[in-house]
Amino acid sequence: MANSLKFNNDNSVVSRLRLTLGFIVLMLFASYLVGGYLLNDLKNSQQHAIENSVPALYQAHDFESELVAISELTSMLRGVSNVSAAISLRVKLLAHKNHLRDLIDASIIKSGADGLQDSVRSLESSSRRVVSSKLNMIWLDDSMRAKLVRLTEIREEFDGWLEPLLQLDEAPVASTLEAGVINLAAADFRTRGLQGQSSGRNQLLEISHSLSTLIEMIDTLATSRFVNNQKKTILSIKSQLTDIDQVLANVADLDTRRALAKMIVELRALTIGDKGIIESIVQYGEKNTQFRQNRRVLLDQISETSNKIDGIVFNTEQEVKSNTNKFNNTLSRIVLILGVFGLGVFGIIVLVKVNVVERQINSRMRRLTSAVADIAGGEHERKVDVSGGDEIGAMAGALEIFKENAKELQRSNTELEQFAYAASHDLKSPLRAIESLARWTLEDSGDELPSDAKDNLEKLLVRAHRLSQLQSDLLEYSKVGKPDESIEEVDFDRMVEDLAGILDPDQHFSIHVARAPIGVSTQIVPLRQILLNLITNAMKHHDLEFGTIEITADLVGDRLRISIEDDGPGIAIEYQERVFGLFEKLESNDKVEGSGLGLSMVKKMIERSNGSIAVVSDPSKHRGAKFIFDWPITESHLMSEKIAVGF
Amino acid sequence: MNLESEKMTNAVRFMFVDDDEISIMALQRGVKQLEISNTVQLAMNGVEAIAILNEAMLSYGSLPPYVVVLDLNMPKMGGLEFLEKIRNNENFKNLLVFVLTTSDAPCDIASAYGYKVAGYIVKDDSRNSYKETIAMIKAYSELVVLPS
Repeated sequence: MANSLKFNNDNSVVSRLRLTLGFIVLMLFASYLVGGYLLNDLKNSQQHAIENSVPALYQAHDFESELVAISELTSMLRGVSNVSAAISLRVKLLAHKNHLRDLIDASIIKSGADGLQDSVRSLESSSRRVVSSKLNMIWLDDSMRAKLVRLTEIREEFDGWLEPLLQLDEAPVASTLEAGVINLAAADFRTRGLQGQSSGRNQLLEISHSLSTLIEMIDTLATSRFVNNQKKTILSIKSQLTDIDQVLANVADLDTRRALAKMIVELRALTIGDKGIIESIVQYGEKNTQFRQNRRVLLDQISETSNKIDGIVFNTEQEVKSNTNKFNNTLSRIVLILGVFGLGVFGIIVLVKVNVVERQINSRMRRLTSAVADIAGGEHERKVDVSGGDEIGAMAGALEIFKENAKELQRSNTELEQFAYAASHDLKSPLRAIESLARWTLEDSGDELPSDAKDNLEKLLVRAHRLSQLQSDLLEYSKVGKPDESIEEVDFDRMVEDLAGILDPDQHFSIHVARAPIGVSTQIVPLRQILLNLITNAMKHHDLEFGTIEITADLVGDRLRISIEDDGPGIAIEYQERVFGLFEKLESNDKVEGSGLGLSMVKKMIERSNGSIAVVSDPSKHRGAKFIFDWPITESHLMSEKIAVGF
Repeated sequence: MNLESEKMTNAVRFMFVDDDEISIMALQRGVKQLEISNTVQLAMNGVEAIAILNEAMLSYGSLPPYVVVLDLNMPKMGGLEFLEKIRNNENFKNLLVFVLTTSDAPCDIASAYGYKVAGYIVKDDSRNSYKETIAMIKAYSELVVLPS
C-alpha cells in the first residue's frame, strides 16, 4: 500500500510547471537580451545621426554660407576704388577666411575633409593675391591721379610763366586759350614767326600749344588707363618734348627759358620716366589683368570648394539615409524578434494550459474531486479513474485507500449492527425460557416451596424481566438507522395525545403540545420513537406524583426545533454530558427501572439525521429539564403555500 | 369403536411444530389450562411434521382436519421450507397453518403469507401470549368449518 502512495518527484505536476515557467523566464530573458542588443544598435545609429550627420549638415551649410560671403566680398572688391574700403574688405575677407578655417579645423566631417582643407588653403592664398593685386591697382591709380594733378599744376605754372609774356605782345590773343582758337592762333603765330616779327611770342605760343596737346593726350591715356603701344607712345611724347625743348631754346629771356626747361624736365620724368604716368598706366593694366585672373581663380576655387561641400552634403545625406534604413531595419527586426518571442511564450503558455493545466491538472482534479465527493457521499464502489505518477495520482491512490477504509468501516459497522441485532434477538428465547420456567414453578408449586425459595424465584423473575427489557431496548437501538422511508405529515397534537394515552394511562401527568407547525412532513416513525423515549424519560425520573410535560415545535429553516420540558427534579450540570452515554444511568435500577439506552437511542437517531440534541437544566436554580433537538423535514406545505401566494 | 374412531377422525387435531422446548411447554400449558381435549401432536421440525402427516394419511386413508402451529427457525427443515413442501403436495395443500415465531422480520411475514397461512403471530414477551394464541386457535377451530 505505502509504495503506491510514493510518486516520482521528477514527474510531478509542480516540477513540470516549474520547468515550463523556467523555460518561459529563459525565453523572456533571451528576448530581453536580443531586444536590448538591437535597441542599443538603434540608439547608436540615432546617436550617430545626432552626433555626426546632423552637425555635418549644419557645418556644410556654414561652409557654404562662408563661401558665399567670400564670393560676395570678392565681387564687391571689383568696384572698390579706395584703399580704406579695400582694406576693410580685406579685414572682412580675413575674418570669413579665419572662420572658414576654424570650421574646417573643428569639423567632424572626415570624408573628403583633406581635399577640402587643401581647397580652403589655396582659396586663402588666392584671395590674398586678389586683394593684394587690387590694392596695387588702387595704389597705382592713386599715384597716377597725383601725377595728373601735378601735370595740371605744371601746366598752370607754365601758363603762369607764359601769360605775362603773351600779354606783352598781344593781350586779346592771350586771354583766350581755347583749343580751337589756339590752333588758329598758333597757325597765325607760326606765319607771323616766319615773318620774323615778334618771334618770342610765337615760340611761346607754340610751346603752349604743344604742351596742351601733350597733356591732353596723357590725360586721355590716364583716363582710359590704356596705352596701345608703350614704346611708340613714349617715343612720340619724347619727340614732342624734344620739339618743345627746341622751341624753348629760342626763348630769349634766360629766366623764362630756365624755368620752362626745368618744367619740361619734370614733365618728362612725370610722363615717360621710370615712374611716369605711362609706366603707371601700363602697370595698372598689368595689375588689373592680374586682379582679374586672380579673381577668376578665386571664384573657380570657391565653386570647386562649394562642389566639394555639396559632395560632402550628398555623402552625409547618403549616410543619414543609410542610417535611417538601418534604423528601420533594426526596428523591424526588433518587432519581428519580439513578435516571435511573444508568440513562442504564448505558445508555451497555451501548451502548458492545454497539456498540464487542463489535461494533467484540471480534468484529473475534476475527476478526483467528483470521486472524493461521491465516496464521501457513501458510494464506496465508486471507481477512482485517475492515475499517474504525480501528486494527483498519489492523491488518487490515497483516495483508493480511504475508500477501502471507508468500505471496511461501513462493513464492520454493518456487522456490528447485525451482531447487536442478532445478539439481542438470540437473547430473547433463553430469557423467556428462564422467565417462563420460574413463573411456571411459582404457579404450579408455589405453595409447596419454602418461603426462601419462593422469594428467590420472585427476585429472579424481576431480574429476568429487567434483562428482557434491556434486551428489547438493545434490539430497538440496533434497529436505529435501518432504512425507514415512511414520510408523513406530522400532527404533533395527535401524536402526543396517543403517546400520553399509552405511557400515562392513569393521567398523573399533563402532557401537551404548547405550539407546533401544521403541514410539515417528515420521517414520522423515528420522530415518534424519540418523543416516546423523551416523555418516558421525563415521567420515569419525575419525583412527584403529578407533573407537567410540555412539547414545543418550531420551524427553523428546513428543520424542526423541538423541545420537551418537564417540571421534574432536573439534571445536575455535571451529569448533563453523561445522560446520552450508552448504558448510562443516574439512578440505580432499584429506584428507577431502565436500561440506560433510551437517551442513547434518541441521540443516535437524531445524529443519524444530521441533527443535534442538548439538555438545558440547572437544579440549583429551578426545577425541570428541557431537551432540545432539531429534526429534518422533507416538505412543508406552509412554505409551498407561501410561495404560491407570493406568485 | 367405529363410531368412536369416526369421531376421532373428524375431531380437529393440533400439531405444534417448534424446536424450542420451552415454547412447546408453554403451548402445552396453554392446552392444559384451557382444558382442550383435542389430539395434540408435537414435531421438533418440518421433517417430523411431514412424517406425522404422512402417518395420519396412512392410518385414515385421507388427511384428518389439522390445525398446525408452526415456528420458522428450526433445524433440518424450517417453517418456510415446510410450507413450500405442503403447498406443493396434493394431499396437504389445503392444510391450515398458523405461524408462531419470534421473528418479526417483514420478509418472513411476507413469505409466510405467500404460502397462504391463516395467521402470523409474533411471540412477544407478555406472559399470556401462548395462552391467548391457544385460546384463539381453539375458538377458531370450533367456529370455522375446516376443509376435510
